[in-house]
Amino acid sequence: MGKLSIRHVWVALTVAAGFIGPASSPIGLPDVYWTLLVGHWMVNHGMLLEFDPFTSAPHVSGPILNVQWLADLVFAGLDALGGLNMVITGTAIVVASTYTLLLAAAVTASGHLRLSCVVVWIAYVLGSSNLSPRPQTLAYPLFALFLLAVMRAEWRKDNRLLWLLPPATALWANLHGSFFTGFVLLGCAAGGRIIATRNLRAARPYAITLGACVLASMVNPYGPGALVYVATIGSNPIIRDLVTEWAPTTVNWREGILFFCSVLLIGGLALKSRPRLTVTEILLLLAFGYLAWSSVRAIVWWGLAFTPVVARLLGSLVPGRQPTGRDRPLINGVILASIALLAYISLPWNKALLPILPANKLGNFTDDTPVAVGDYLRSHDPPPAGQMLNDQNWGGYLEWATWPRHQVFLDGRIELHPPQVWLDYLDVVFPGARWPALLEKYNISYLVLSKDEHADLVADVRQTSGWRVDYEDDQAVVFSRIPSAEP
Amino acid sequence: MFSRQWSVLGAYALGALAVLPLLVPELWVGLRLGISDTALAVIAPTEQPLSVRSPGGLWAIGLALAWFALAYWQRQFAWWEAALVVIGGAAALARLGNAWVDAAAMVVPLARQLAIAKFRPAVLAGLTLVCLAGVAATLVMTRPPELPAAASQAAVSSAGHGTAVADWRWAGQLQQSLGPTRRVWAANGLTSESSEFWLDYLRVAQGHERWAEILRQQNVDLLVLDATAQQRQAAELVRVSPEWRVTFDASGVLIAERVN
Repeated sequence: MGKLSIRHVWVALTVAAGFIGPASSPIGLPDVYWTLLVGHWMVNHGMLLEFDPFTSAPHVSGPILNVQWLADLVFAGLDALGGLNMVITGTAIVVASTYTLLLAAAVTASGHLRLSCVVVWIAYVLGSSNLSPRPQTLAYPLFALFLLAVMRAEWRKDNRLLWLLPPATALWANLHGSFFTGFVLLGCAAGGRIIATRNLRAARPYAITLGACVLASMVNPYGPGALVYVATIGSNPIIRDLVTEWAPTTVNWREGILFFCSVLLIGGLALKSRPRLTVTEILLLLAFGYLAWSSVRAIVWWGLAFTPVVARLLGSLVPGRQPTGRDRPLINGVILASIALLAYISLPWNKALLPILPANKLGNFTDDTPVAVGDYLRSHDPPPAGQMLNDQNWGGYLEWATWPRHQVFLDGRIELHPPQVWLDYLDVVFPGARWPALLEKYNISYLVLSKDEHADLVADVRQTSGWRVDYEDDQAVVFSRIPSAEP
Repeated sequence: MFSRQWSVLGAYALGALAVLPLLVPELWVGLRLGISDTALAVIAPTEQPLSVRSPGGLWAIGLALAWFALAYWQRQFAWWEAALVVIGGAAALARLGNAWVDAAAMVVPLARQLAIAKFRPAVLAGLTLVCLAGVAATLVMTRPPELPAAASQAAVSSAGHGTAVADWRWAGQLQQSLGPTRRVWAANGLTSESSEFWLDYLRVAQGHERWAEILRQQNVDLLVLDATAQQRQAAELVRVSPEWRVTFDASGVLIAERVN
């Protein structure tokens, strides 16, 4: 075993940052809840999910196209192994793997380890709101692998890793619909080669890999249907216009401010540094910059894609440091052991020992998760007739906590329901003048509402005869129709 | 020497033409500097923060990218140019309606880079055509709709004496038609009313459960609604409400007065 150097410490700090954050954080996004439900359902029934048993709102016609079926099974497997603690730990390992591969890509492009570590931390901050357990997170290390393969081909003239990309795409296309970002990356690399050399043949390694990846993406239960799904999901009017995560990036969001700062950083570096951006880098920045500016959820891909470029530009401004020969293996070993201990303590089972963790991060759920009302519903039957209407943001948690005893009206899977259902839902919670009629239209007999989000509707229902309060806490209220008033 | 002066002049003229599409939308409603407001952003595109979904946003991004590309390509730029581009961009990012600040800040840096680039006349002519097309498109796309004459006449003929609520783009025109004896909400533009007013305006426009109550509280007895877009839901409710009598319903405009 070689001597423990300060370089090991830098790498460990970077990898640990990618692990400790997700491992010690509560579940921030609700996607994982229906992911777990669907995964367990598939295990129990031995088949892919072709219809949706978890929500009661009218569905779009035809079978469900669940392109993330494998991610559902992976998360359900982690859940079976150790519950939500294991789901969170597995996610942390995936995130740490992502930033390890990203570090390798940045070092390949820049030749500077420490600068690369610093830029990977910036990428981590850019993506930090998108590292929660969910299928998309499983795709990050695959994208980082694509990036590493392209960087090795660009800067080391080593095309060997490109061979890994088609099988990686076959895996990716069964985990999450974001596999098209790998195509974008390879397309930028191929385009960059052609423009830079004015020779089509120069792009052959990338073009062959891209073609093989496109074919590999069809190795899934739906064949080319997965590609069609990816191409059309963004044009769903409800997703495009009403889902926060798909909204265009603006300074109204913390992520937006970070994104624009990162654009300034790379612009300033490009103007200041002596080496020129390569055509591939320019195409890559334009493509992923546009994606990130188009939708908040794409900022995480921008953070990954821009890391090797920033590391290379930054490397040209900072003189390389020669090893001083003053490494202290013992101190480095102590630091590495401390980092490992910190990573261990950050695990969900142990994180209560972390003194710096605020009280609201000690559990597996964020403060806005409707745990108490979920407990209430789990121990109470629904009214004998009619459906639940729930806060859509709570749909994922509530179905995870209460199905099959209760069936939520909607969760976050927007594409499962026709746009009119969503418009009607929004009209009810607004509340529009038609809300009583809409509740009758959908045969709603009980309401599970957020007192913050739906204060006007809660006040209206309280004043409307025919409804009674079955449950109430600081966060939620459950109303049900008084039996004689049922439609 | 003479030729060089003309080329610099041409570059500045092109720079000024290129930023015009950022100025035009605010010229219709008056130049104002502010930050995006949640309620107003639903009503007016210029009150939204800059994004890729608005043509003005794309134009602003395109201009910033054009400056960057020229500065990067030529490696002849001053940091004050970059500072101006960042300041103008930050203003537009905070609120698209601030794009006039971006326009003012971008003119000199862009023109300077165009002058350094010394493009061939054919390229300059092509860029000029693109900018002219941008100006023409912005003029057409951002011009506020006018209240049709027949609708205006119907509003003037209404019997009430209370307050009138109109689509905010028609409010000023309607106030002129009705004269000073009747008040039209928001007749002096988006900044003439409070945030609470605009929240209520949105509630009415989108058919909130309390829409009728809000109008009663505001002593409103005349409605002039855009029945096809922003106030479509309100128009549907007014048509079937016993509290309101529709006096005009054509050309996308619905006018109703309160039944006494």
